[in-house]
Amino acid sequence: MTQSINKFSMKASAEPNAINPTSADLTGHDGTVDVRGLTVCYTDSRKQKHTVLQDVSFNVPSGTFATVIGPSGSGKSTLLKILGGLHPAEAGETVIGGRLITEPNPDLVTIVFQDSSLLPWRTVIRNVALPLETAGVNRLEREERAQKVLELVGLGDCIHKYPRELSGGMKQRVAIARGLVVEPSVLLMDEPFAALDEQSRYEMGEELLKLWDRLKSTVIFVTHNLSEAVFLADKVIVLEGRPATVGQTVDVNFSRPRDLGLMVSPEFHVVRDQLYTSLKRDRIRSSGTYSWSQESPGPNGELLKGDR
Amino acid sequence: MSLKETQVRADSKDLSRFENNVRSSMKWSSLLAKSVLKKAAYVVGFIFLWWAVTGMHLLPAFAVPSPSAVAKVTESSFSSLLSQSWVSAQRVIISVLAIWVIGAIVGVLIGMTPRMWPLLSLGRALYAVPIVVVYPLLGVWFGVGGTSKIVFGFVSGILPMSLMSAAAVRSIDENIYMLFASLRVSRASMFRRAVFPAALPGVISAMRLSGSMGLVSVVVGEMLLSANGIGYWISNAESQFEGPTLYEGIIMVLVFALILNGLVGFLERKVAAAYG
Repeated sequence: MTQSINKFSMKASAEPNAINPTSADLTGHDGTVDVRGLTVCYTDSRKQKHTVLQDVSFNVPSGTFATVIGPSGSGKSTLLKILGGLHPAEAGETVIGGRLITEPNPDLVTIVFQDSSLLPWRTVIRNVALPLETAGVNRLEREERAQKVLELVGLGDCIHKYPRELSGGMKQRVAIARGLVVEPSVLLMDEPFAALDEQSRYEMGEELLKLWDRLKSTVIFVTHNLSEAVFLADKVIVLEGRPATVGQTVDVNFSRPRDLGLMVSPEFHVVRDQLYTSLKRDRIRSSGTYSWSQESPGPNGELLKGDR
Repeated sequence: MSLKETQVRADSKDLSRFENNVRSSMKWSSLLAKSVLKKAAYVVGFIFLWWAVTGMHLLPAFAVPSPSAVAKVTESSFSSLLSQSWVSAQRVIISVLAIWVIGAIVGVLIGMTPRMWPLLSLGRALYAVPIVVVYPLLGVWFGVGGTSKIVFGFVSGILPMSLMSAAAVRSIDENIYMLFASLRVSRASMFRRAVFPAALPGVISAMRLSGSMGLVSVVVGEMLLSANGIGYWISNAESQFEGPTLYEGIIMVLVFALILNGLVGFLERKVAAAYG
């Protein structure tokens, strides 16, 4: 895995596995994600065992924005569940911030799910305060912190609304705020914008980058949208094959801050097309075992349908 | 979740469309006044219609006695009507409370325990059996007094209450469980913060259905085999061809149903308000 040095990754030059004082100073915690030889199986309803991930290894330095792409059913969501400690691995290990992950660590790693998973009976602020509530933070403090994060995601005016009064994009903002309220070292995002329309998706991506620029936590963002993956990432991790493994990791060195204008630049398309070609090669190589659609990607790089 | 919301909304349609429309734009107190006025208007309208039909003597006086005949009988027998109603009311209260409390606990526990889900298909199969066929048996076991009516009401209502509560728990979004798992909370905390509030609308729908089944069964039990209660009042009036007395009893059962409906409707509105 190559380590690129650009303007941004200066702060993210942590060595794998070592608590780097520089990154620790910047983020408050160490958010290095180190995955080694991860193999994951699941048992289906007919009690048959399937291997989803085979020998997956990668390293994400603290403070890096990494995206994970791969076709539907390639185990992207499963990988996030492993990182979140929600699913046991068959072999291999996951170390985050020097901690071996065997169970959820809600103070270290938080997850933003594909559907916002908001509790409909709670107001926005009480939804966001939930992780603090279960962590035993007192009411005054948790409401103050929740309010602050909500202002950060631009929902300072909606704190007493109920989720059903919000649009899809606003719900996802609330979910992101809930993920950020504990100030995690690592934020895991499972296709958080998949349900949004094209325009909102990229606008949310742009805003997410601004937010991340202030918080400097590590983000691991799963998507099947190539353009989104390239636009957001310092590092794109490509899952290929079945069972899936890391086909390649691509460092994306566009300068930050990035805006949506980047997506129409020629350099952007070079990276995107390179990724597309490698995914296509993989698809041809393993055709017959893949069940995904044979349609060519649209102009926006919408290659595959969602996982569910 | 949206399924449950629609369920709640569908149920509250009983309250009439008009009330639904004004709910959003009016305050509670004036809303209550409006709804009482409207209901009173319906009652007055109904009695007028009743009076008009009987005044034309189109139907035999036994089958449809005039409102004035019913009122006259009620005037002389009101205290005994009330005492018989109170006998039934006690049976209904015990029966329905037992259905709600035990059914909710059993249902939620089964819903939370996948290993016990096979019990639900057994329950659904039993639910198809007309429970009234076991009523003579309950008479033999518990005697002709109140106990057999209470047990009969309970037996009729407990299955739908447990089955629907379990279904409400089972239909909770998988992602909500995942969220709470990622927060690493205890089972008790998960119950309090996720399972209970998520299942509540479904449990209240279960209360509506099972509550009315309990009420019906207590009254039917009294009609079939009893020496007191409002069901007995009705069947006795029928066997003696006392039309107005029969109507008295029917109206009383209607009042029971309205009270039960009002109570569940109140809970439904409370929950709907708390859910935004």
